[in-house]
Amino acid sequence: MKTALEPATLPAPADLIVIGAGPAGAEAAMSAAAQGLRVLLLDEAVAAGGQVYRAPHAGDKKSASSPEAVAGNDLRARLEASTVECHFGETVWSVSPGFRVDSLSAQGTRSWHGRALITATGASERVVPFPGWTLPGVIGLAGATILLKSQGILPGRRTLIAGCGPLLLAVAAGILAAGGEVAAVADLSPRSDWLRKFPRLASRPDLLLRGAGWLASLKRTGVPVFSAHTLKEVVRDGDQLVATLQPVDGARRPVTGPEPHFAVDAVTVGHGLVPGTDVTRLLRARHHYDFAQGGWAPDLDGNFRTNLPGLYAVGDGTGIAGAATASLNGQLAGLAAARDLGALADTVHEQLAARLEQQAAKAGRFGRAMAELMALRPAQVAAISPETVVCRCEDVTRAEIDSAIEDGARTVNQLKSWTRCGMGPCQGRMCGDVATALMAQATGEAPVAPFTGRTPFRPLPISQFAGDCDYGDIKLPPPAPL
Amino acid sequence: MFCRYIYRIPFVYEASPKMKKNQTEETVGICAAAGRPQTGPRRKTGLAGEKLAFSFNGQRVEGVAGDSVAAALLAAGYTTLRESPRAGTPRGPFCWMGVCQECTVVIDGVRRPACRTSLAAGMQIFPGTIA
Ligand SMILES: Cc1cc2nc3c(=O)[nH]c(=O)nc-3n(C[C@H](O)[C@H](O)[C@H](O)COP(=O)(O)OP(=O)(O)OC[C@H]3O[C@@H](n4cnc5c(N)ncnc54)[C@H](O)[C@@H]3O)c2cc1C
Ligand code: FES
Repeated sequence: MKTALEPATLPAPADLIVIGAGPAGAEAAMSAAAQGLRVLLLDEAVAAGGQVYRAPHAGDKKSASSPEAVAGNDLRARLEASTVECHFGETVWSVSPGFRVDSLSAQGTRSWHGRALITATGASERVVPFPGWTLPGVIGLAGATILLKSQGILPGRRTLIAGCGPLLLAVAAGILAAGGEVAAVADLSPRSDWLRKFPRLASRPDLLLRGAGWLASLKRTGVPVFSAHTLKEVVRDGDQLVATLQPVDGARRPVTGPEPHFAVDAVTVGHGLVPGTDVTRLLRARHHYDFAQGGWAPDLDGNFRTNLPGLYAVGDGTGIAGAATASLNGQLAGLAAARDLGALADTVHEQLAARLEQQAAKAGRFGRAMAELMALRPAQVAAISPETVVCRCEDVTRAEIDSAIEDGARTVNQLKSWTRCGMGPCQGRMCGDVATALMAQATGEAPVAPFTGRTPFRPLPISQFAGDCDYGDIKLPPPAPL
Repeated sequence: MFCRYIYRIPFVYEASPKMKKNQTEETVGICAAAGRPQTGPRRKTGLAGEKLAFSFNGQRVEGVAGDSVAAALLAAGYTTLRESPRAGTPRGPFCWMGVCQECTVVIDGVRRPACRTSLAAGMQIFPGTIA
């Protein structure tokens, strides 16, 4: 009899375990391994690269030459040549102090042990709920970049794009380049907001130029761009979706005005990124709320150490700052871990880190300017209508959340047990920051703490806990002598 | 509007995932609404690769090597993959990055997120819901 709770294999403890093989985690693993540490790198994806440098679809020859694919291929080749032990297809669902990491793959569950742990699990997308956001065919904006980059498919034949931040233009240009039609782009931000960020964005002329190219391709194809417009609702009409836009003021509060609508077969919408803090919240590291960088994030010192010994965090999971920052900070975090584990002398560490820190500071300015364009806007949350579903998993509406708060719920954990908001299989990762924002607004107490981290933080089939257990296999102890 | 909710019954499951494995094509015929292909979204131009045949809800579907299960289904025009357990509204892939679990399907008897599962020839896939 094999129970799944016993790890199938027990590899020798590593010096360092890195969770997440995006730019942050992959660079951290490589820089620590270069100092002679034995490093394990775990990721649930099939290859390294994370969200931005995701490997393209095997049959998609055109995307193989995009700047992201080239950077991703370079990252994967360097990883291959390094001594890092990579394990892909492993979804981490629990981490315990010490450190023990539990993961699930097609082969079952496995446990890994390491002296130190770097969590680099990246960010997930925030979508502020609106009526119709649960309809099939409505997908996330960041999700649309995944479709275009690595799934070889368009969201639809005719797509409406809404939300905020740089992904709006990236997705629109991507759809056009791939032969699709864009009905319109609705940008929540007023034009003035982009202009205000311009000086900081200009620190990366290459990326700015790329943005200008995207904008030009929209102009060329005559796609209407609505600045300061929100996606009011989407309704289904036969096989089509009808999306209605509404103007907003500078605070992103909906105002009266013309409400253009579009018949499409797909809608992509996204309102920024939220740091993925599953591991740091589960281990009860200290966190802080940073509006401009996406919300709750772990407290870190200058060397990516959390307040828990041996636990480091890096990348967009520690506050949204973009891919360039993630890879530079990843290298720094790997060096810091190597130094703390005694593989790198303090003086050498300082030399190696100094140049990287300068570059990271510069990249961070650009990344943070982008992140601010995607920050959660309280007025947008306040405008969610009562009948709108906020928690998709459990179909909990705004009205149900409001009435729970009226009845005295004061933490999102209470909200969860009273309404089931955040109790579903996504573990509150889709609704968490909107639920905390709703509570903060209703109670006037900001910021409200996030859902308490729980294990498993990714859904785990019950069969994985039970294993191939048969009651007949359970050995009964011999009866005690009377 | 959301056509024929008769496919609710098969969603009320599922004591054992094995049940799905043994489900015959006749018994799943009633969930046809979840699997009604719409005019399929377009593939990216220039995408090529080996064709992989699989089934969704008992219907034969073809994908391309390199697809995720969710992408292959979307390419074939299947946007609804399950319904929500409480309100029973139709759902399909939303985040495309393994977070929302809206794309959950039952693949050869095991419940998995379609967006994070690579397509293989011969997979038998049914709508999934999370009880
Ligand atoms: C969908 C999406 C698309 C984006 N597109 C762009 C873009 O086009 N351009 C851009 O500049 N920025 C983009 N971003 C922003 C992006 O977050 C950063 O630029 C960059 O990818 C951050 O790197 P990272 O290493 O911190 O995290 P990521 O690149 O997100 O890498 C995190 C890795 O951790 C893995 N992981 C997470 N949780 C687990 C777990 N429990 N078990 C195992 N593995 C796990 C993930 O599979 C992933 O590979 C996107 C973000 C998202 C969410
Ligand atoms: S679409 Fe969200 S988990 Fe697959």
